[in-house]
Amino acid sequence: MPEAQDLMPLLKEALAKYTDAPLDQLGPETRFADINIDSLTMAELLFELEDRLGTTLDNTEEIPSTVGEVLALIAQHSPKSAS
Amino acid sequence: MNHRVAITGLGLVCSQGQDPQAVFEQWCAGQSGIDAHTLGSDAHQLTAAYSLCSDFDAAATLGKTALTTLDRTSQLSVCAAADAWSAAGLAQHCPYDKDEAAVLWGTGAAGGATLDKGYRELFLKNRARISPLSVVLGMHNAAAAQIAMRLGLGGACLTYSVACASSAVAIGEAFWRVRSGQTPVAIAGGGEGQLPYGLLKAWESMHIMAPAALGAQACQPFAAERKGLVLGEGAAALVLEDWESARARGATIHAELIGYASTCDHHHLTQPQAQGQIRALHQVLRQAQLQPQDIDYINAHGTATPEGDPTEIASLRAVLGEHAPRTLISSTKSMHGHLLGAAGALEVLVCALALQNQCAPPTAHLGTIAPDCEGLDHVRGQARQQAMEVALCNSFAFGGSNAVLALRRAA
Repeated sequence: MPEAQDLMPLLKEALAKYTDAPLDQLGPETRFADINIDSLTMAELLFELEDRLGTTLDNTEEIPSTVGEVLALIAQHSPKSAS
Repeated sequence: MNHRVAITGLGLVCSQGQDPQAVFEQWCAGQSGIDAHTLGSDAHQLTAAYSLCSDFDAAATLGKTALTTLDRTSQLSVCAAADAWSAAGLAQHCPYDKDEAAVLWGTGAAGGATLDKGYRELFLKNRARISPLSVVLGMHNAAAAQIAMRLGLGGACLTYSVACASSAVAIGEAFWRVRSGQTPVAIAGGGEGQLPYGLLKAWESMHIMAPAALGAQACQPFAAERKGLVLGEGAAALVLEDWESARARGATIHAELIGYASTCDHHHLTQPQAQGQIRALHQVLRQAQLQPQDIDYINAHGTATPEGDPTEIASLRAVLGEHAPRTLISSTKSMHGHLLGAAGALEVLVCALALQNQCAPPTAHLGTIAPDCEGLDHVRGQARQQAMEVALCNSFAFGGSNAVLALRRAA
């Protein structure tokens, strides 16, 4: 299972499609609400990450609210191992 | 008591630009925004004569974040509507209670591109799910809702889907609301995004589209050589306002809306019938207290189909009688294409500018007029600069719905 941190570049690339907010200071503690990502956009973002990773993110009980939570989620479901 | 209805703001996104006056001048010069384009996506593409908004940069105007929740139709619509609202001076200062301002919008296919994308995911890629935003981007009322959200308007927010007459109907229904005093101000218009592959093939299979090889000159309404219609994408918006309030706040008034009628042929799904069109024309004349000789210019529906053009001319000749040969007519679809759900709004915008500029744009590429399209004063080549008081705008849709709007020069 890849480390959550290794997936940060992938997440940043995906996020860039959905927000104009600067992403250079992005860290695990960054809240999506602070970078103009609302719940609708989050749903779309997760869908796009599924596409990029070739996986399915099971219905999560809680919508991730921070970058760290998303990284953990996709690390958990990613079929690829970190090189 | 009926209120007079002023058109105080215009907004436009089309293949030839977003500045209504500048684009109007292109039309007066007979310049076409149509060209052969390759449309569709991935492995499914086709080349068609089309009016494409190639220079439209939605991200620059709306911001990337907003684009997530805006289908192409909504992007075009929001930009046109915001421009119209701003052009009317209402973005800077709105003297009205915005909770009374209405949004009435027309569209044919709405967010069809979103649905097409979703279907490709489901059926070509066998994905178990499609984008969670599919419903809210694809729904027919998406554009109107986005306009209301962007401008903070809390009155009636309605969407009309009447094929090619959608936005003419939207404008007409907004006209009634302002005229009756129900609302002091409304944004009315229509938007149609670039059609996805599936819908383009649907249109192609009807064999009424002009060949791509004709490029910029593909759409030739009323011409003996006409080869069919040319579709396009874009949006047009008008701000309709109570006349007295508009005057009181010093608003620019482009033209006055003086009448609207809508009828149904109840004859055929695609073939128009003169009786339905004639009834709409008579109704609008009665309503606006006009005589046939009062009509100076008609912006025709004129889609360049074999049956549509002569039927429209026959209807107009029946209503105008002996005055027909002196009545100016043109189909500006020859230059901007047929914008389907946005067509009516775009063409009312043309009429408003024609009256404001005292200049009727031509039907472009009109060489030999077809014998069954003779009988009115066709404007061709260059625009006709002359005194005009009243213009009519025709929209005659598949399904037989007809909408006619009447405008008067602002005085």
